[in-house]
Amino acid sequence: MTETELLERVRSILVREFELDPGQVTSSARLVDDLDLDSIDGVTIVVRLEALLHVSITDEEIQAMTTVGDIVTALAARTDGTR
Amino acid sequence: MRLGSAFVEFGISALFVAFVVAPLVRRLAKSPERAELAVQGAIRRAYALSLAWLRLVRILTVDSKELEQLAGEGACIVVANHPTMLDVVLIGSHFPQMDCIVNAGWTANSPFLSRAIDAAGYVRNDAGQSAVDDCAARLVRGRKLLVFPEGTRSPWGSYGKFRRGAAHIALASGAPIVAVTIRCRPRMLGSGRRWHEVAGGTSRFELRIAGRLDPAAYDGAGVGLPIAARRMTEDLVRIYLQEPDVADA
Repeated sequence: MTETELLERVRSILVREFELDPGQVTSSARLVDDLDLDSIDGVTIVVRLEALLHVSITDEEIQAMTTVGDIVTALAARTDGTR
Repeated sequence: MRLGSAFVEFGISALFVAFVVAPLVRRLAKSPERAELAVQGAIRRAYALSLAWLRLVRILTVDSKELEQLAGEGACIVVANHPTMLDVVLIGSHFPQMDCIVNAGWTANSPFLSRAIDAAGYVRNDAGQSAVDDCAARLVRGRKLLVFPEGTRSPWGSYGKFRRGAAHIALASGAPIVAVTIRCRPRMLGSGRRWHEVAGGTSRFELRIAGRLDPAAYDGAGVGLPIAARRMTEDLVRIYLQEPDVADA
């Protein structure tokens, strides 16, 4: 799966789970400052990503991420994503 | 001078709870939960004593009769705006049992208070989902919880950003949120002010119940928990925005 495809998957989760505007969810969008996500939302993101992509990602890893792009990069490393 | 005496009194009370009450109840209580409840009862008495002293030296007057109706209720999440350093004392003095979410950064700088906070079983605000689960479990057991949704003292003339923790806890436990407004005129011990910067006169505190939110109204709305928590928090903010003269001090 390419990073572009991964970004689309992540975008679909964030839009569906948190009622975000799809246009807001760009690679550079900051999870806390731009998308108003918090540590509890991070748990939801982890659960949905694991179900959708069958990857293992921890709550701590999500907490350490700043942008949507950080999530995509971490997923790419796990799914052998290519540009 | 008047306020200095109040801080000395408060400090002595905190030390007494931390170094006398807490070790004693740990030794005597039959379970960790009973020890927590005993310490919380001692803290409530310490708060009441502090308030009595503050009244005596005419630093403040308090009208908080409305909160008395909450004392007889079961589990609930009391949320409040946070204009002054005394808010937890004002609310906590009403309830023999009141769990509290405390600012983790603040407790790190207060070793003595931190000791009392740990003995009382208060929850630090940096634990994310596990803090929500912990608080929800306590509410299910019938306990009350105090949350300042802004996470720190309100800025002057407005509110801080409301975090969604209280809504998550309400949704996880089924316990209602009770919104309390705190008004203080003239405002004292507010955000960005040093503890000794207090007007020479007497501040009047007014505590009112401004509204209630039932989590069942959000949980059963056919949306996921993250969205339910957002809607509940939006409604909580709306309660405060509709209250006159709360945030404009």
